[in-house]
Amino acid sequence: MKPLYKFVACSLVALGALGLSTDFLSASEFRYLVPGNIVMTLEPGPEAVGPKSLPLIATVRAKIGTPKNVEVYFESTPDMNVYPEKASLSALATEPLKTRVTITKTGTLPKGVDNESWVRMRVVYEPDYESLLRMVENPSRYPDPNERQRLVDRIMKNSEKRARQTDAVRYFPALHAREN
Amino acid sequence: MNIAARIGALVLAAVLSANLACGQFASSKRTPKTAKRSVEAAAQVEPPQDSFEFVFYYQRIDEVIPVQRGTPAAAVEAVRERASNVKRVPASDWRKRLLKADLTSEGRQEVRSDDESFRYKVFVTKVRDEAHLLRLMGTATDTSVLSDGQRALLAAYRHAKEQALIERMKQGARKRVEVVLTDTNGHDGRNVARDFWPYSNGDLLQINSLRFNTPDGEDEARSTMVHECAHSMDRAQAERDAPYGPDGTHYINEVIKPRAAFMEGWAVFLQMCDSPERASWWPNVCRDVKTERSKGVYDTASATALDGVTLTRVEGINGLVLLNMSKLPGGMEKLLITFRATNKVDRTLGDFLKDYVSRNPDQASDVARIFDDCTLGKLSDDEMKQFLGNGDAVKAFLLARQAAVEARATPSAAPGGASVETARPDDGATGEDVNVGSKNQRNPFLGGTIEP
Repeated sequence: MKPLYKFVACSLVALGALGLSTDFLSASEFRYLVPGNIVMTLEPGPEAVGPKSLPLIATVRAKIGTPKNVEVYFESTPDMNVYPEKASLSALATEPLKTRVTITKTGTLPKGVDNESWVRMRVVYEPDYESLLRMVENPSRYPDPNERQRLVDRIMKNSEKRARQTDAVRYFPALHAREN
Repeated sequence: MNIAARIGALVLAAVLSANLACGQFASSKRTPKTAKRSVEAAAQVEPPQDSFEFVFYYQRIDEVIPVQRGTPAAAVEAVRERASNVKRVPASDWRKRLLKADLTSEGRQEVRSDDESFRYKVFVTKVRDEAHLLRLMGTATDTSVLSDGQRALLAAYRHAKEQALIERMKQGARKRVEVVLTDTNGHDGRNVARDFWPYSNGDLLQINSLRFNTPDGEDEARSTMVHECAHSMDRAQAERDAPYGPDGTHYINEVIKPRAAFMEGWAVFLQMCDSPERASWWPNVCRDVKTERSKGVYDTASATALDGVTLTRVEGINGLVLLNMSKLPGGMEKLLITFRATNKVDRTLGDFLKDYVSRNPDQASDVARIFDDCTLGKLSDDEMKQFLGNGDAVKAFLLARQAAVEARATPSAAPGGASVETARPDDGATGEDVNVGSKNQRNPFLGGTIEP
């Protein structure tokens, strides 16, 4: 009998949780997102030269149009040095640009679950607003007229301000070290 | 132990039964007797919460791994994964349903996408304060090194710390709401946008950086935060049977079910309160109304072509009614009292309006006018009474409305005269999109709606 009660109790808990919480759900309001401009990754590179160095391959490419005045920054937590620190490009094409980034360990961070070492690639650029507009004005891609207009308005506003966008990705060496 | 297990099972059975009964009751049509009970209950107003707090969690996506299928290696991997007791909780749906099953448990976790086609390696930690959040996002103080999406998360966090929002949340059903700020960390796939889409399940809400990764993302994030917070204030529950239509998603100008329409309308209303730009734009959106014919297939029609009851099931129109009521003298405070008084699982716009009118008979005529405007004058007298009650002021408004219709009809009956659409004295509208021959008097979406 005892296992049966346990089974019944567990089933009721699960059903109750599902039933109650389903009621709380509110569906997500439909929204078009402004399309992403670039694709960027930081991945482990070939074997390291020395025991304290970590090679990474940074890749960046345009997803839409030709973003301009591109600045790429490589940064890290204080326990590491990164080389190179910065690169500039007048424009970014859809062909991927790759570069090797070398990380050298120079110290240790205080211990703590949220005190992890990381390397960041940060890209600051001016989106290709004309290409973005052409894309979102396409009714077959963005059929809802109101949502489409909302995207158009937002892109136009950013374009008028020549607003620069910042995208970033961080790589956590410890995460990959554990896997290896 | 045996007795304890029996008692536990009985208690759980009682909870489950109550839960199911509540759902059945809520989804069934109300009888006059139950309606009377609900009116009596509405007279009582629970006091605001004496305190309110947001508890923040930072969630970072470290890796997105496509799940291989259909190969021997994938089968072996699936078996190995099960054996290794890897958490198999999908990224959003199940996590929403299981509330805090793992969303706010700290450390490294692995979650699956809703469609099981991706695995996400995420890191979750509780946020102590703004300095801690900044450090988690990768900076000490200089916010210029953050991505636009991260800055948007920070803007949402700061907005939630503002006293005005805290005070508003005290009017809601909860003393504490957990907020998961998901840093998508450069991962920008469609699956990421879908699986970490902003939502509220009441006790917990989530927003993500990808959604706001644009130079104007901060404003969008603040507004979305307000929307999700509005849901967390609410005790109401959407209908059980496809409240948002077959595709489960919804537009601000879509016809959905009544309870869902009011829940979303409340959220839209608070967004408009906090954002003049949205308050001027969204009413225009509701000039056309979408109806989901079959899953994901929508018909769009001018609001003027639809009947009044259908218009009351559009969340944007619910929001617009509330927005215009908030502009009446003391409107916002009165709305919040009614919000508390009617904060129950099966609330609809009608419950809300009836309560408001019964508490504020001096504004009943104005509320009736606002409601009539927002539904384009399409509701019959009986339908108006179903939403507003049968008070003297409502009856007087309906009589005046009828007189106005008749007065307008008179010139067109004059011999040799063409049909003339005469505007009422406070009519700022141009008369566009108004069906000739209907009892529409003006279109509130073109401006000229009620001001205090």
